[in-house]
Amino acid sequence: MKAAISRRSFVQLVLSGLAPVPFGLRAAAQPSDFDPDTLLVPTEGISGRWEPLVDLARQISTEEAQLPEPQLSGIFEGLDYDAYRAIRPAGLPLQRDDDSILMDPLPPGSVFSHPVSLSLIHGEQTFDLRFDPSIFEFGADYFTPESVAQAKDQDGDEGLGYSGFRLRAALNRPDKLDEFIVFQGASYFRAVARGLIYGLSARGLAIDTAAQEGEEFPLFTKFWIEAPEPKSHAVIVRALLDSRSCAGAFEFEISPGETTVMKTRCRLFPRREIDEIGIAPLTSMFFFGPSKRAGIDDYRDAVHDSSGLQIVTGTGRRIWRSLGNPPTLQVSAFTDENPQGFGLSQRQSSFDFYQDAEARYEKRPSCWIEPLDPWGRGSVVLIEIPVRTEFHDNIVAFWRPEAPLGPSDEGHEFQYRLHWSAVSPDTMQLGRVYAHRSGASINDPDQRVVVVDFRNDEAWPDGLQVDARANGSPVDTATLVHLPDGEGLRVAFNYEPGDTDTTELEITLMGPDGPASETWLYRLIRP
Amino acid sequence: MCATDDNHVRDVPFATDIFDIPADSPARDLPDGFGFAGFRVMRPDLEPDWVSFLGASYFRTDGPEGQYGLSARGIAVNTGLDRPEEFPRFKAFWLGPPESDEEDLSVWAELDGPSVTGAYRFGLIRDGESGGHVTHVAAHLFLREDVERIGIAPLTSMYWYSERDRVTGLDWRPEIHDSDGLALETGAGERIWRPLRNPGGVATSSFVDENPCGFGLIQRDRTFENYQDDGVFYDRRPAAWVRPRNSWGRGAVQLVELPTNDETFDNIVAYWVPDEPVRRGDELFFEYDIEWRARDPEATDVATVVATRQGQGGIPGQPIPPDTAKMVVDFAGPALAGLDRESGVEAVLEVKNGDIVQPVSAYRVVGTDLWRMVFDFRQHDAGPVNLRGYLRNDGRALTETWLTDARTDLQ
Repeated sequence: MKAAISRRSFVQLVLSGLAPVPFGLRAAAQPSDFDPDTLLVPTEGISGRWEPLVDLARQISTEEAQLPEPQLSGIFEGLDYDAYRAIRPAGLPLQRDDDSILMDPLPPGSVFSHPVSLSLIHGEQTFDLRFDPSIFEFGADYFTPESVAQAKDQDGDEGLGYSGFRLRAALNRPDKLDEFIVFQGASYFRAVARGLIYGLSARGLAIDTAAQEGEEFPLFTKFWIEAPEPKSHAVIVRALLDSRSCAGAFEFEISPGETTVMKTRCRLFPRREIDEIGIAPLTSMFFFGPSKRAGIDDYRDAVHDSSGLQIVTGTGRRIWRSLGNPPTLQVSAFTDENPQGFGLSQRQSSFDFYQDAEARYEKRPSCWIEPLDPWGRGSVVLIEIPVRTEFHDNIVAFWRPEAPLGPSDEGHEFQYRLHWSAVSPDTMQLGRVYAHRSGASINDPDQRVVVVDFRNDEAWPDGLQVDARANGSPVDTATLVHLPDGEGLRVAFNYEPGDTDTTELEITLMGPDGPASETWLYRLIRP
Repeated sequence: MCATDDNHVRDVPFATDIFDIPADSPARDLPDGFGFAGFRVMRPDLEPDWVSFLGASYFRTDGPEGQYGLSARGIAVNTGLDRPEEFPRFKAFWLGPPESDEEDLSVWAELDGPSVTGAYRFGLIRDGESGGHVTHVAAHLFLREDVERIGIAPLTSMYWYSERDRVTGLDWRPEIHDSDGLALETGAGERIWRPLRNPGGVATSSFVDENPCGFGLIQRDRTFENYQDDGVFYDRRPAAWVRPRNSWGRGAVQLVELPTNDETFDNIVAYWVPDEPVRRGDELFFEYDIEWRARDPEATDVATVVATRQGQGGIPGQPIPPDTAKMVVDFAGPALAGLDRESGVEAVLEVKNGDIVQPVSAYRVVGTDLWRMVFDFRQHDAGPVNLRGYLRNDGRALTETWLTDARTDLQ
């Protein structure tokens, strides 16, 4: 029936507000001169469902990659950050008779120069979203009426396309639609949960991260967004990933809320043997915090999107690796088998810890990767890149399988959930690291003071011992004291690196029946 | 050292047998009558001491939270000048009964120095009505020589670094100081907050006044998290608030800041300097209270400064402008209750030897009771830039006056 509706009659139905129509533009966000007549085109390509998508990924992996060319022209060319932000898209309701969940196609411009194709699935029918600049409002502070008028004549024929999309729903208040996820740029996406603002990002796939010959950034080239069931906000997004070395099919079932959960599966079809491959990559920023504050001329106390890499290993060991902004690039691998989960976390949730009234780092989410099938042997890899500002992500974490992934007709499938939330969903009752502080010793500048504060939601067991190690050797001088709040415990010791450039530090609080805390890890690097 | 009652004076002679002395200590060989270094007063039942007179003319109390911090002195002579400071000393003490019901103890002291001698009476109050200990001071001074700079009611403290200049601290602790600011209540009733600095060279600042209501070195930040020192507890260190009791006339509160790179030595001094030159043969009399409090007396009608922060200037995401710094000043207090971004609150700023980079913003930090004044400034020459600011609404000052000397480069 849907295919039988002519485009003209379809639009008339939308504008008169009559059912049944799959999609329409949200009136409030509709620019006055917008003509939606030809926006949604019944597809002539694939439906975007999982099996056909996997077939497409498999098929293109047997050929040389045909990647979209970066394309910016006309009004979309040469925009700085503020001008780009002044382009505002109209929102498309995803559900029939219901504008409680909207999709905003995002304009090209600024650093977003790769066009992506967007399609919407409703019922049996898939519609391609034609690129039409008329869907955008151009802020008068940055664009002249003449340039805007000219832009409305630009369309996809010039190779221009949307750069991504975002989804909005009533996340924080029933009367306001808040953005909860955005897919934009290479294979990047990021999400928030209730009460949080955007922070770290995730990606579909990482290849050759931190490799000398340069990283390869796979692209999501096509998206299919499936309308949720009536009154549901669980949106299914499927995407085709492509890059020189690998093609892949992705499916995300996205449920926004207190925790925004993305049930994910991906099927990868490498075009070559890929050794340095990163599954479920997370990308974040750590500029500075109390572990290294000296020499940073900044009024704030801490600036980071994440403060630690958190891991629950296959055997259930809890690890907290404090992040750093090292003087040189650092790669750490945490070897494991069938990990239960890992993620980058922003544990400190008080404004006082950061003191940034605009960026509000205390409201940035943590993201936790929970494998849903056995991932076998491999490593959680952490990469820390030196930065001097907060505007470049410098932290990457992902799963790297032990064996390289090579070309295969079946492909390589990984299933996992991403949890975007204030704290990681691993709530096992244990002492947890709250802060890591470090500095020069006042008595001996060759020594560093290492201070790690633990908190516990419940009472600490009696008879706690500190198990502290430096490069595997026990540190006998570690002290354990109660903090004045009556709850926190502090482990402190002085460490003299001597000629050692890199020291792996490790602290666990041991109770009579085993670990009473997660294990704190840190790589201390001589400046 | 003498003990007195209304009718008698009794010598307390020095003898080694009144001390616990380790077996291998050379102090065991000190002869009887050698002399004490000073004394301290214990709480009842020999619980910890709460006041101590020790070294030169120094004395201090452990304040309302049982933690010694800054000190007071009997007198300061030629502090911060380009020649050695004189340190007159209390060379004799008499301890006796209190002179009023509120006092716990009287101490009389004889001060002796190259340029000045003095007769002092201290009335010591433990846990007074202001929430901490109080020291009544009456000082009769007799000048042996002309003195270029005489400091009345001197306070001595330590400031290494704080949230303002954390960039300079190599230590793991976020802040290290016994005091974070000089607070003033002028004769005209203006409340002033001058955050302390650890300057590159000796810095002297004068705040001209007539019959000041009070001044003090204050540790306003009372939060453990901001110091993180679980050994010496900078968060519990007392403030000392000097309240004149006779007419001090015209003069200035002077603040001397010395450069430091550790926490062991005091580098901050504040005192009153009379306008009138001090000549050989002069006699001076000053009477005042020192209140050892958690912080300076609450201002009734204005909000007060909570924190001063500084860092490189500019707008996030844009190139960092050269020779520009950002200043962030937080205020809190009942005078700001109920105000929001639409209330018309504005920041009033004056600058000398520099420029303010517009815009200056003033806003409530979402989710807190703090009001934040933020601006960038530039320095004209070697500096420092003199900054003075407060928040205003409908022509009325909402806050005390914040003022500071600043350099764009803290390092």
